[in-house]
Amino acid sequence: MILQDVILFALELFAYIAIYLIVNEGLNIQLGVTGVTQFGLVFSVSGGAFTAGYLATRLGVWVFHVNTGGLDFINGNIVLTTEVNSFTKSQPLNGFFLLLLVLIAAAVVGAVLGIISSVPAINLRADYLGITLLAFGEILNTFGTAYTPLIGGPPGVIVPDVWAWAGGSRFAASTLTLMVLAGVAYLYIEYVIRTPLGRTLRAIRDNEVAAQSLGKNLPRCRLQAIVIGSVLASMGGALFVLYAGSVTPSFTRYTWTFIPWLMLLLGGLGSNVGTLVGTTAWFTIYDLILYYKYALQGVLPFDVVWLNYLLLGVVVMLILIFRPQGLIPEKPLRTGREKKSSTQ
Amino acid sequence: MALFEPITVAQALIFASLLSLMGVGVTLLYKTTKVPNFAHASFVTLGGYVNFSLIAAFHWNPYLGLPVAFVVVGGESLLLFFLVLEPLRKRKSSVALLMIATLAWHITLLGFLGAYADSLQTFLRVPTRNVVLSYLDFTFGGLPGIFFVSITVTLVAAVALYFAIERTTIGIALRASMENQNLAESVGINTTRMLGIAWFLAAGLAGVAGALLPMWTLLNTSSGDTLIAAMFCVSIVGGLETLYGAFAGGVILALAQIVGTTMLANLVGVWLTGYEPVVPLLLMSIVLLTNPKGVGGMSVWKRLKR
Amino acid sequence: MKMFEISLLNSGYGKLHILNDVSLTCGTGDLVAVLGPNGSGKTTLLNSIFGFADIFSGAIRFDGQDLTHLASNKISGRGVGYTMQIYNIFSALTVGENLRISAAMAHVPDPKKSVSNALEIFPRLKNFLDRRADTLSGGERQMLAMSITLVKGPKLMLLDEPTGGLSPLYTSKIIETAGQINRDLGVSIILVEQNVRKALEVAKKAYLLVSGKIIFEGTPSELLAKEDLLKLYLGAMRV
Repeated sequence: MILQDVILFALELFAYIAIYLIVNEGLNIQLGVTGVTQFGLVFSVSGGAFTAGYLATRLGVWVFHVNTGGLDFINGNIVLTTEVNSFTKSQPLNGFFLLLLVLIAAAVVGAVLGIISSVPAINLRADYLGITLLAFGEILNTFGTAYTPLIGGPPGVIVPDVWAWAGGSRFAASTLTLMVLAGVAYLYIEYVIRTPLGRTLRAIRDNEVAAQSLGKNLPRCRLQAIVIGSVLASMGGALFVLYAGSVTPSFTRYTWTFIPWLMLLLGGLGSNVGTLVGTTAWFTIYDLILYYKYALQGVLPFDVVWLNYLLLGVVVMLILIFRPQGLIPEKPLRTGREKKSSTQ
Repeated sequence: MALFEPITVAQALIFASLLSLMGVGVTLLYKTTKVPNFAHASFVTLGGYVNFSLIAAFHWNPYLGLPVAFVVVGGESLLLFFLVLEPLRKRKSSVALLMIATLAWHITLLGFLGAYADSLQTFLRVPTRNVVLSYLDFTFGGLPGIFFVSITVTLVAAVALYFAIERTTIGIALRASMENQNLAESVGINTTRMLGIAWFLAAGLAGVAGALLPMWTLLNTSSGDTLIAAMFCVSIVGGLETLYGAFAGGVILALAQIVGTTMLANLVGVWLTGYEPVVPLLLMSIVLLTNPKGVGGMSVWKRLKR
Repeated sequence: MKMFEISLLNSGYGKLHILNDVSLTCGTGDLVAVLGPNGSGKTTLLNSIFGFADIFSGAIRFDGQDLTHLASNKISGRGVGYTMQIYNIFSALTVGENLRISAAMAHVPDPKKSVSNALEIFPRLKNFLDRRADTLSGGERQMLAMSITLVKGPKLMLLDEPTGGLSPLYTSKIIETAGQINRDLGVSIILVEQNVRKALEVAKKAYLLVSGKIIFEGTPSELLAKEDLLKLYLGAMRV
């Protein structure tokens, strides 16, 4: 493999790790920290993704004063997006501004979806809650497919390239941006865990009755966790679309709920470092296998994509049975009040 | 166009039967193992492909393979139960982890079924996707055979289940195991074996539903996935804690989906049918948020059920 | 060697260590009372016998056989019955089904006869055979719980606070019936009780279990003479 290919491969790998890390932090604050059985993560991810799909070109047209000439955003998608790209190509600031606007919109949508998701969380227990959230997750994808004006139905739409200004280094620029954003997301959740809210959330996860007896407003705290998580997941979804350059209603519960769970389980539920480790570890394993998998295509009487499924399922079951605490078990928080060891 | 066409009702009844067969398994497994079983989707698909294999390879009558589907899928579910779930349950794993475990099993089976369907296509040179077998069906009184078979199978299953659970000693042992595992063990019941029986039955019924599926609509490796929301909906609407509620749930969902959307589409416009997948999700959410006990938990039922 | 022996048992739940080197014996036809304050581990003791608690070390022997690591559902087949403290009946089943399943699992030669024998001891239950068990009153439930155990014809019965939450009338009846079962049917009984006086009236031997340790083993009269222990751990004499 020549150097250029290796670099591109690495850049794409880090981009996906970054995007998934943002989404996974969204899952971590809900599942790992608060103990919410969030089986509907795809609800927020697809929300952000569809927001990007719907708004990116529209925002570009509005901000850069593009003359649409009466074109429909779905039918005229390619024309209008190309027009917007001419602006993002000329000035980095244009691209970043558009990126910012899309992220804000995704955050707002994420917050709304989070509030909706928290309604069942008020009084449903884990199993019922999981099923309800799973049901929510499927709804948006159906809308995306059936309601064409949203993102153009099954074929989808393309979105402006907010990194067009980088020209040949587009992949480097995008990956770098994503990694910075992922770092921010990671640090933000690290911060939240250390706040009083974070401690309350962990208390809710570990012993709800005790947490309640301390006088904390449980539904409100859970709402906060779910909203924060939903906002992050939504932004992750939007970033995914912006990175890929297009969106289709293909956000399944496998890619955006099951795999995030897998990464968190692998890394260790509750531990934030675990989320980082799990995301990186999984992608590394997966991409390696992907690379060798294609060598098998043609040898086997079936499409090698099925090996993905087999691998995913088996890995999760192995983790659950043999190492449920994941690679990085959760460490208790230091509050600075521990007694010094008695070596006097 | 008439709002209430008889053919639509027939379709609804077929759908209701298949849904009930699937949903009663979900409820049975929830009552016994306390876990919503995501792998149920692949139980259905597996049953479909087992039967299809017999038809494609050995030219069996499409209804002859139903018992085979029952046994194969029932047996396969025991693998999930003993290899994966029992170790986790012994360790007192949380419901969330058990749910993920069933989802992981489902994904594994999806991979297996995909590979199997591809291989079958390679070796038998028949298409194994979008399988439609209704042309093999018989007709009676203007209605397709699947209408009679699915309803009969469902009724037989309902009656057999009732007798097995309410009137036999093993049924009492099963109900005892569902209520209080320790107490059941203390009187000598091997609760693990009872749970295994429940899994075999539940999965077997799902397999039969899957085997019948291509006689009515099409069969794909993704069929189970498409139907999982409906399966859970049936179970929840009927009441996750009430075994026989699933039959009511099946009827309700089928009516809502087929009759409801068809009727509404005739009124409002064909575009409505694109939203059909939302029906079970909406129904399920409504029930869970307003009355999680579902139809079966309502006082009318309490007087009828055990 | 005694019919039933627990030697140096250390058990608990997961990381929680509850019983420390507990030893106990029960001879054929004996009624042994195990007394102690709340939380001392009395239920854990009985749970350990049936495998519902984790055994860290020690041995449990019955009729010459080692029960220590036997599967929970096989213990009743060896002749040991367990009437638990709470959740001791199947509320979703009828009274008749409760008895029927217990008899069936015990592989008794004539299940119907075993059930009617058990009903002779608690005739009140005969009226409720077709009723769901959760429609019974507290006292009736206790009777049912004991009948479920009796139906198997056990050689040894474990009774965990059978009078918990019952009125004085039922309390007397239950404990007297326990004594009756012991005397007339020859069933050995290990009786865990909070009601000290009543338990000592029917017991042949008594143990005092405090904080997971046995601190007294002897006859009821010996225990009644130790006023310091009674005051300290068992409160004033409970009626």
